[in-house]
Amino acid sequence: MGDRDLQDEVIRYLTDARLRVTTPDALPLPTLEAEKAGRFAMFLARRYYRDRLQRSFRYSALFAKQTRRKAEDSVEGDAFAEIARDSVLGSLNAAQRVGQMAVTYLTDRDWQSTVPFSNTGAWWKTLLDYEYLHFLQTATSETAAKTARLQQGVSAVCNKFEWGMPDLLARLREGKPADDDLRREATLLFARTHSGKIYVMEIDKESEDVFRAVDGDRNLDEIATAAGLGCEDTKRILQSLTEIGAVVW
Amino acid sequence: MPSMRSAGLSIGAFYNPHLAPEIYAAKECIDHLAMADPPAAHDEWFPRIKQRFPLLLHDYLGQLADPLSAEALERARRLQSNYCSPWVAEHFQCIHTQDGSRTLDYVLPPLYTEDFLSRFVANARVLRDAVQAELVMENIPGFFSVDKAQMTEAEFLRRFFDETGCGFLIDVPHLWLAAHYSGGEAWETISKFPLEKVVEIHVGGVEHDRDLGGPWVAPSAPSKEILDLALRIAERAPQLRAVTLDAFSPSLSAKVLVESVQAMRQVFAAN
Repeated sequence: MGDRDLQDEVIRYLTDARLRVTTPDALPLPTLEAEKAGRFAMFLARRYYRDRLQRSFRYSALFAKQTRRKAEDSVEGDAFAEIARDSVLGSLNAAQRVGQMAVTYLTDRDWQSTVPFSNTGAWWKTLLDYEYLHFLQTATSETAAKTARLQQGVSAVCNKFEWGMPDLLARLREGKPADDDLRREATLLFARTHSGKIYVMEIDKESEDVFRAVDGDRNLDEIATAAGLGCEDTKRILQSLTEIGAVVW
Repeated sequence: MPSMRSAGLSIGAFYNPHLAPEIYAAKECIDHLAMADPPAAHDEWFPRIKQRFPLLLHDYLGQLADPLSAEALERARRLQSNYCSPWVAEHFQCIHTQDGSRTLDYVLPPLYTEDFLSRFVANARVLRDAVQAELVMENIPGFFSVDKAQMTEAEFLRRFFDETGCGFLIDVPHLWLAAHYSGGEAWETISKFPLEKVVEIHVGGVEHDRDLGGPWVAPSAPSKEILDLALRIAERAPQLRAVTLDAFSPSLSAKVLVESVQAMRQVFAAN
């Protein structure tokens, strides 16, 4: 094996906890160095997810004085250590598990029974749903294997909200009350480009239908038919979705 | 666009956007700012920061273990065009697989072998030509060994600098850690490196990390020991132009940043 390929094996060993558990001799390391590599891998994982939880759950963090917790603090607990011990750094699966762990941490009423905890507003759960889906984008570096057909981006997701999220987030940033006047249906598309740029945008029904019609098997005509649109409109929408990483080859 | 000082040492820090107002307020104390990330579109302070401080390009431009893509080179050119940095920095690191499927999103040194040396030399020349500025390279600490090295880290770096003519960005905490984890003495470790090639020195804090079970780099103030080591390096570095506080983190406080730079000024001014 060449030096560059060996370095790749080191990187895989550090990012894939399953290798360290099931194939401890995946790398030609003496016992002491293997143990150090395992500790370094946990350091990397905790740092990686702490950083991304901080970035994605920044609106709920505005209420840390009331909730007494921030999403990124959840990586200090045993629940995170358990996830890190059998997951792949940057995988969608790991992002989903860590994200759900953080949401549970932010909503767990039993966390400290002596501490009064109240939802800061009727929109709290919706906000956490938004931040969770954003976190899937920031924490997933896994890419889909290239195929002959269009497929949805690994972390791309379309979700309906009962609150006008852009306006809600603006109110929260400004420290203003977020009242029922912000309630409205909004469909948001979350996606990430290959270079790691994150997009969150409100999309119309046509774009949503095209996105949902992309399944890795359908060709353009079949996507258009499934979406109930003409080919030209479908092509135009697919071009936009491709630019933001929502659909990929 | 302000220029780096032409005489004397420039004492600076990394631009931490969440501390922009405090950094600007400390403009008499901070000579330059290193840029680890491009300015955010919503960063209202950056125009003033750019007008006041010389900027050093210290972003992730690519790993020189592999050829840089056309997009990466174009991004490096754009950043350099924005900052007009007197030199551009990269790291002796290899952090993602060749197929791009896995990345550590953190520094990891390459294997110190002939093959990797050739790779870094070739790709460093390409990057330097692309940005049309001096290239300086920063040393990276390793925490464990794969035991495939064909030369020491010091030899790898010396040969790299001799072959490319690039400058050395010596990170003192990184070498302090290398000494600590190898059971060696800090200055003895540092003195083996080509200090005559040093253009910039990084200083910073180290703190205990629970996962590593020992010290590691942290966004905290440099200790007296780190500053003393930096001073000893400076005495042996005729090409030295800048000393930078290597602290870039949302958890970094303005107090730590400003007090650290003031301490750095005191140490280097007194000597």
